[in-house]
Amino acid sequence: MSTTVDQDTIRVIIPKDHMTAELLIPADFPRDTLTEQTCLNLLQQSGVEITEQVTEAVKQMLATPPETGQEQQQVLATATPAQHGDHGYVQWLVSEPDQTKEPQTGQDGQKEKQKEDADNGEEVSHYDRSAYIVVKPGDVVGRVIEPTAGADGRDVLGKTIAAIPGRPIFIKNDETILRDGADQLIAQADGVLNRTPDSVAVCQLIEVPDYVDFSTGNIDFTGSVVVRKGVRDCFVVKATGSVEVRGLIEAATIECGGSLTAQGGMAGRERGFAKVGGNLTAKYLDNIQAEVRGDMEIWREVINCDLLIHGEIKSPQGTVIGGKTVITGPAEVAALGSGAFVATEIILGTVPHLEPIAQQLERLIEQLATKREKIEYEQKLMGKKKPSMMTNTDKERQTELMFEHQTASTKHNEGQAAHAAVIERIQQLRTVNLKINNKLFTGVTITVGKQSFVMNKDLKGPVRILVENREVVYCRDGALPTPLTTVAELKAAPAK
Amino acid sequence: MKVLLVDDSKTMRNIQKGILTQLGYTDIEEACDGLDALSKVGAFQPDLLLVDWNMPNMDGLTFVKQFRAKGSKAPIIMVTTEAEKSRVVEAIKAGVNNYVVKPFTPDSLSQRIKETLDRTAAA
Repeated sequence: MSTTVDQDTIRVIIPKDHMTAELLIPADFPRDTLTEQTCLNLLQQSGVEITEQVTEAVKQMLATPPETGQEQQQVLATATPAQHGDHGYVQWLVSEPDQTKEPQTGQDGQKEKQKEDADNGEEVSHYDRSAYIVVKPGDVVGRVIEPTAGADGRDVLGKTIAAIPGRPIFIKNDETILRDGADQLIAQADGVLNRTPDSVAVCQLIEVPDYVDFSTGNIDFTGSVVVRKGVRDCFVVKATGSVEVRGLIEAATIECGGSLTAQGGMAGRERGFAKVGGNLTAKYLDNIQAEVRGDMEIWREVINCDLLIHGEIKSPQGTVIGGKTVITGPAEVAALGSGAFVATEIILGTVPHLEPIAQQLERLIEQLATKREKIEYEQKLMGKKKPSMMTNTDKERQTELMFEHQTASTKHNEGQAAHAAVIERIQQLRTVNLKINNKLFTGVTITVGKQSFVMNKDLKGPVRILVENREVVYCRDGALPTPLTTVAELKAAPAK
Repeated sequence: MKVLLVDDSKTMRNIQKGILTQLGYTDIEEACDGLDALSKVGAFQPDLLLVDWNMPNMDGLTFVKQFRAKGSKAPIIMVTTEAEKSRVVEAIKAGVNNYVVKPFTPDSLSQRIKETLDRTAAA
């Protein structure tokens, strides 16, 4: 266990790790024969490295004898332990998502929009608290710190105690993360930072394993989002790509540049909102407001929704009950309206994103034409003056009028050309082709252009509503078209 | 190309500016009379000047004479209501390169500008 050297029972004790060296002087040892040199010789014989500290410690030991009849044992040499190196690691330079605070749940289980005072006195919205670290190209997300070598130690015998150097960190990165010469980790793409102990990447898809709720906060993401469960009330999911929600979307807001798939449907309770850059596919829609740039496919029903569809409705099994549906392209549904005469309106063949532009251009063209007429009138009045009677001011005004006339004419012509192009595009996009497979119910309003038709009879499907020779007709397979006015009351469409 | 517009009427300057912009010239400086123009030519160093005749403080003709006296050869178009032949001759003698009489159409001013620049380039 220890190295011991006796000289007339004085012992040097050195443990196996050589971290200390002690001197034990028995109680009955004649201290008057004991000198500093004797002690040092003893230590040296035991292999202890004699340093200034050791010599000093011996002096102190001899100067402070114990009470008579007691032995004396004292540490005279202490080793310097090795300082092992630190392992390499990644110093993350991103704000970590705050997952520490869980807001209270209301009595009815409904999570209320909560704001609480933060430490700095500002209000914090738990809805805006994100569970994800969203990065963009160029963001320095972290820095790889190299391991350190450590420092060797020295035992009491003067031997080196070798330090163990730290191990470098091996972190894998794909093309979404660049490791530059300064060992910085730099994001190369928009997305969510995905970290494991040995890898880092920017992921362009957020996959929410549960609900979008207070555990995730609102999501605003450059990329696509998949939600394995649902989206809770009042939460917002924004994505430049597509959004897929496998559970129910409650009274939430979904905005996406790509398509929206709502496998569990969307129950908006008049507060749900969706803005979809691509297609919308859903089990059902209930009391929501939505704008869809592409097509819409509903598997079951659309109830009391306010919809603006720039493409087609492809819902051969779906029923539209209540609300207002504005559609640019053709539509196919199982049924329209209900036997309970629920006010249901469908507006066909409108091009909502271009029609306001056409109207704006029409107003502009009219204003320019009026302006031009006024200029021409003033020019005519000036033309009546004899040239010799014209003052310098008159001549300058004439120049001004000529310039204004030319400017107005140029703008007028440009406006007319733009208007013609917009109208042509509207005509290309506008389609009046509504197919009802099962039933078109009494009370449904079908609006085409400036005419609204309120159904005063049920119409059994399959039946199509079309425009033929500028007349809105319905048509069954193999039958001749019949004016819709035979089954509907014609009214002027409300002004836009 | 740098153009200096010298006219006491802001409206006329705006018209000329609009025409020049349509022609693709956007580096434009404005002066409200001859004195103002003289104070700006040194720093601005215009490549073309459009100058009105009748202006307060210093008229266009005096400005042209003083500008030429400095040795500047930049082309000058006089844009004025002064249509008498004797006045035109007087302006040409003072160093004006071209002449546009008010009222003028935007097209006629554009044409004179192009014509003047072509002539200067050929010289």
